[in-house]
Amino acid sequence: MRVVLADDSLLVREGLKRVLAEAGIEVCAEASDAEELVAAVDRTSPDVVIADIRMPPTFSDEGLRAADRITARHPDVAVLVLSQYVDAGYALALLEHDDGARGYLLKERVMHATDLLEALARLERGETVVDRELVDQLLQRSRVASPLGELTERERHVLSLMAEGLTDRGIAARLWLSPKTVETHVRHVLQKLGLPEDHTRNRRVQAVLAYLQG
Amino acid sequence: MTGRARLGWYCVLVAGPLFVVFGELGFWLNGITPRETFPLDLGVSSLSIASGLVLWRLRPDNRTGALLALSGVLWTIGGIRAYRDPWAFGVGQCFDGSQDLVLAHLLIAYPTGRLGRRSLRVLVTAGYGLFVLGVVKTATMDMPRQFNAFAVWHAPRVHSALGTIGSVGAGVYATTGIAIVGSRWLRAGTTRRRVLGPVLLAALLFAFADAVDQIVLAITGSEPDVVFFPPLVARLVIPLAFLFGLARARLDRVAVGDLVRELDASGAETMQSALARALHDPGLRVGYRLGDRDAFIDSDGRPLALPVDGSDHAVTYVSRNDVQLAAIVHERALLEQPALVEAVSAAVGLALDNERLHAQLRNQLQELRASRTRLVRTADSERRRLERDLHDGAQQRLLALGLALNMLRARVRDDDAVQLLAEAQEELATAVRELRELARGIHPAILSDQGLAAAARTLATRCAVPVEVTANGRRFPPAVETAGYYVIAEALANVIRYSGASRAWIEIGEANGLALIAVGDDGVGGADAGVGTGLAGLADRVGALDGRLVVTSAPGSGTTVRAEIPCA
Repeated sequence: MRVVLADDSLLVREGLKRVLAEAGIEVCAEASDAEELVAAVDRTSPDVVIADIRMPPTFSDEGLRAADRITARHPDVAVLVLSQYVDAGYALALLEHDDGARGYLLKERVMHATDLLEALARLERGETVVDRELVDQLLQRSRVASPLGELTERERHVLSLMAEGLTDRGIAARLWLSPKTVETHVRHVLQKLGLPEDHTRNRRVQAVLAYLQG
Repeated sequence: MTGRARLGWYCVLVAGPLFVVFGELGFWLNGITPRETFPLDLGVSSLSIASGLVLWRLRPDNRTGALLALSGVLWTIGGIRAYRDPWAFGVGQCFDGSQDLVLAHLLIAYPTGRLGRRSLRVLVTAGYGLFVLGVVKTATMDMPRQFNAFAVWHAPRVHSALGTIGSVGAGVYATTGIAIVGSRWLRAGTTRRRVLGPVLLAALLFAFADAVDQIVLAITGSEPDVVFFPPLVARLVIPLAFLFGLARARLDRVAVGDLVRELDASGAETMQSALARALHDPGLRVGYRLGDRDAFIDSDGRPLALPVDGSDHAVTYVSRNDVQLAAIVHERALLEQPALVEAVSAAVGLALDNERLHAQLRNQLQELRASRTRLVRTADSERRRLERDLHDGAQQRLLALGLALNMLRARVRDDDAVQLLAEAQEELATAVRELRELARGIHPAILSDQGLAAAARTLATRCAVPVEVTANGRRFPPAVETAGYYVIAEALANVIRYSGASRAWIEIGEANGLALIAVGDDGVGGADAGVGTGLAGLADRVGALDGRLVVTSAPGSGTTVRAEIPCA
């Protein structure tokens, strides 16, 4: 797997590079801002881009905007945005585009190599990734007379994995269930929540997140 | 008026008419003045003298009155020619036409009665040179000594040459005078035009009538009976014009009474517009002294610049009990009516003092509001900077540290050490999480990045009570969004802490240039918007943006916190 790294902190870039190198992942280019990042992607055609959400010059959401620019030019390149914010608004903004594999991960996950590597692997397979802490927070949200209350324990679990961006097959593997059973659970969940069933990839995750955010 | 001056006035009142009638009668009796024009002739001298004297009385400081009276006297002196005496004839002849020289002088010196500039003094002196020319003309008349006592030099050709020079000179002189007043009128402001206007009009009327007269004379030869009328009628108008022009200032003083009544009647009318009307100066401005400082502010509390020397505006200061209260900035021409300005100032002194206090208050209020807004803005930008520093400084370093620990753990073979490293990583993860929440509390990044609606949704998802959010994604100015965010955050915190509510709602909208932010709940109500709830601080924050915060919280019917902040 070939990766382009974008973060304005040299310390973080160096640390990440080493973690990736140990996992046998090649960092083919580095960038310290969005402009450099887009140029590096043009130049090296990586499999995945890892980008900080905050970069110069305004230190706001450059990472999200860079993701859109990259997908527009290279739909095959997956983009993993590392963020400091547990805010569904950012994840929803990132998943607005249905093209391209997108991931929204809390930046502190980089301290656990397994989390980061799993996310990268899923992105490479073309899946969507949403940080589980964000999903947990949305699921913990209290609400009045919500259809969420009608979900079984198992269905709730399936829903949270859907929100994290897992495919039916991914959920099946995670829960040790057969793909057929998972499909049934997913259909039930969507029916109970009143969500349309033909959602694919980013769209399905976005619809679930938006529903959970209320 | 002293006893002596009064006696002088009585003498003038008795002697004046006698003198006029004596002089004019001579003309008439001897057929020099046609019967038809005699009343006009008499009118010119008596009106000139009377108007002159009245003006002299009204405006002792202004020479116009004296000069006008003099012009009337000179008009009459010409009349003594008729009394079949060689000396009377000589004197009368010498003064023939001299009243016009005085009128031209009057015109050029109008309205102050003073010439001022050196060029004007030279011009008027040259004008009086024409009088000398008239004397020489009398001396060179082709006339025996028994009729003209001044006929000392028999020189008919010199006489006719002087006659031509004299009439051309007089024409040029009069035209110049009118041109000077005309240009003064063009440059003048409203106040001064009111004074200059009547005189300029009368002078133009006279010049026109005289020109017509001359043309008719040149065409028909000589028909004095017919052509005498228009210039004479115009001459009648001239003294009235001077009188009207200058006495207007006096008439204006009557308006001062109205001014005081007006100020009493309508509180809405500002001092400035009332004064502007009373003094006929639409551009007039009133400045109030700011405390002990040497600065003035207008009624809205904004600084007022005083005119510099040499500009066409001047300042009159209004004092009360030796305290300077206000400055009235008006057209310089009003300085020629000191009595009027003084009367106005005295009349409005008390009202001015009131308005000055109001203006001062407004000024302080404005400063206070500005400083409050500055404080809030500074605090907000400080918070933003702090949040940025935490994210881009401390957090990045902690993450780098975490990455290093991660690799260290992969290399260490000792089980205890691995265990310790795992604990350290857990601690580090907790620190990062706490830092993230701390930064979020200082300033939520999503507010700047995605706006108030997105930030409100995040607040709602973190609230322990179900919260329904109604908002479109419209962005407001950053200061408004920040204030709105804190209103929502504080209101939701109060919902959790005090209300016992089972649900809450947030509404964000806009109407009439106001951002409307409301948070309501179905709790116990009875919230106190005063101390302790944090609502007082919110009211300050909203107030700093000229907005208002309303808390509705009747016991038993929930609490609604509603902020309205101008956002246009």
